[in-house]
Amino acid sequence: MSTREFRDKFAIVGVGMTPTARTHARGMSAMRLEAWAAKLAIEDAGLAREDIDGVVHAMMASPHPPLQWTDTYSRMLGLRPNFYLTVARGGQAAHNGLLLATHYLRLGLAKYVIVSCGLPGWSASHAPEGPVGMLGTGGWRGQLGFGIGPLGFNAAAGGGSSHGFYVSRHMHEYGTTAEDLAEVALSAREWANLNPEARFHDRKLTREDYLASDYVIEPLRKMDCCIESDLGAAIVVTTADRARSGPKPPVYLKGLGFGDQARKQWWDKSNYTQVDGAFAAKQAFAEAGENIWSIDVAELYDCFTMEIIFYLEDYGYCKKGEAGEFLRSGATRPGGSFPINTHGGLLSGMYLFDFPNVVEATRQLRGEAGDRQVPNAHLALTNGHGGEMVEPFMCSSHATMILGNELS
Amino acid sequence: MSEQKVSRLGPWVERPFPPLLPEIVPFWEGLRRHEFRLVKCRRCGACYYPYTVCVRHADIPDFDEMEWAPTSGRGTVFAHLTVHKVVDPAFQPDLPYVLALIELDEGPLFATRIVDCDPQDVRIGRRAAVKYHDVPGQDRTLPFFVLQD
Repeated sequence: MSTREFRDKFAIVGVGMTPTARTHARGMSAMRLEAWAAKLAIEDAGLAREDIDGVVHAMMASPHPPLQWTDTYSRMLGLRPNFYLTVARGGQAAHNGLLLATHYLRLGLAKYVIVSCGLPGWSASHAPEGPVGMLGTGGWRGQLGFGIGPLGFNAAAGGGSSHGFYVSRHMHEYGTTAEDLAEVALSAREWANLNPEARFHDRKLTREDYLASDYVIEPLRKMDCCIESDLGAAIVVTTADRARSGPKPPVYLKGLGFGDQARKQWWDKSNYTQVDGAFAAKQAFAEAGENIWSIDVAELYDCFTMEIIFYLEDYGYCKKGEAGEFLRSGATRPGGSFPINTHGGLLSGMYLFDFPNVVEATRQLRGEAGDRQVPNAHLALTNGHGGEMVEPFMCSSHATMILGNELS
Repeated sequence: MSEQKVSRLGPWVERPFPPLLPEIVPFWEGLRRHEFRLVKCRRCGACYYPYTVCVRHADIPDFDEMEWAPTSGRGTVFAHLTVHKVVDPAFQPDLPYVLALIELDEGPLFATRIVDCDPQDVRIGRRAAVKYHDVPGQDRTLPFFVLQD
């Protein structure tokens, strides 16, 4: 992406998210959740259904027929899109969807594109003990066929038995501790306590609670794993010119970047102590013409606590091994200088890949975030992390985006 | 030698396994013969897992330049996890069990389970070797690993 090809050319004009975790929209299919969110986003944008002429449906990393159906929800809602395409790679599917949507807009093939997703993750997992996120999705990974999954990887968790190896290596190489991981969980929970839509809005979390919480896949405790939600989310994006005629202030797309650890071989040792965030962030910040310290609020993909440590280090907010200290400063918590995951994150808020991050960033930049509003938020950082989990590897793909409410 | 702890395996081990990708079948055929095979480059001898076309040459080698060959089945613990909770009840008797990445002596990383050990004894850098487990009543051998002193 060359400079100024992208910055301020497109904007988010509508977001929608179904009522989240505490009210669980249980008993609904993925398409119904997605349709509901899309309705909310279209209304939020002040549009009618016939204004939407492009649909990008986001889904899991690999085909997941029982939970997500394609080419379906828009018919349920009576949309009449000129195109309906699917993007995948789970945890960064919203960012991938926005990349595709903006390209359609640039080519003049659509005026308003909706990027959406629905997943009855909570219902699918039936987790009786609460916040043991990513566990319910354990079955799907084994379908990739190298044959090792059934030995105990799939039974352990969808994500924990891959991502956990990274925690093991980071602890070994940089001395990261459970206390460092606790800081991430505590920060997310403090924000969740301010967000009535967050799953754990009503539940405080202390360091003692964290350390007493059971190991799921040691060194990952229950409190290190994101939750499952039955959730739908949708984002309406259009060109910047059109955006200015809408009822809500436009949230401009300023920079978008992508990285993938597949650029290195499977066994490249550095793969296990970082994500490809440095590469993706460099592209996004260059296009936005901003530096990392100009960000007012960050909504980052915390599928596990360790991911936040990776992002802080790999984006350059601190050196490798120093994220624990950065977190202990309180910077990421309410009132801090670098607020992260003001919705409560995937850890304490709600789970739907990277969609909640983009929705929350939009609300922060519009000043709609209520008790958790970050004062004078003009620039937001979002990210997503996705891909397939094939031993010996975890999700390899990374996306970074910068949003802003002012033209540069 | 101290008393050997032997891992319990739940009823999962008797279930039919999901189909394999054709490219990985020779690996599992090797296990039946108690051979630990990796994909080896005929040109330079570099070993790979999973199936990968050798990356050490300027051109992309032909697929038939890669062959499955027996290797040591030994390496060191690169990363490890102890599973305390499962979503599949068939694994309940196994708990707690150890998942690990083994850095094989030939280079690649191999994801497996370390069996017959106290999870507390598993450390990064410890030596480990393959332990073949012939599944009773099935034409399948599982590539567990065990710690070595």
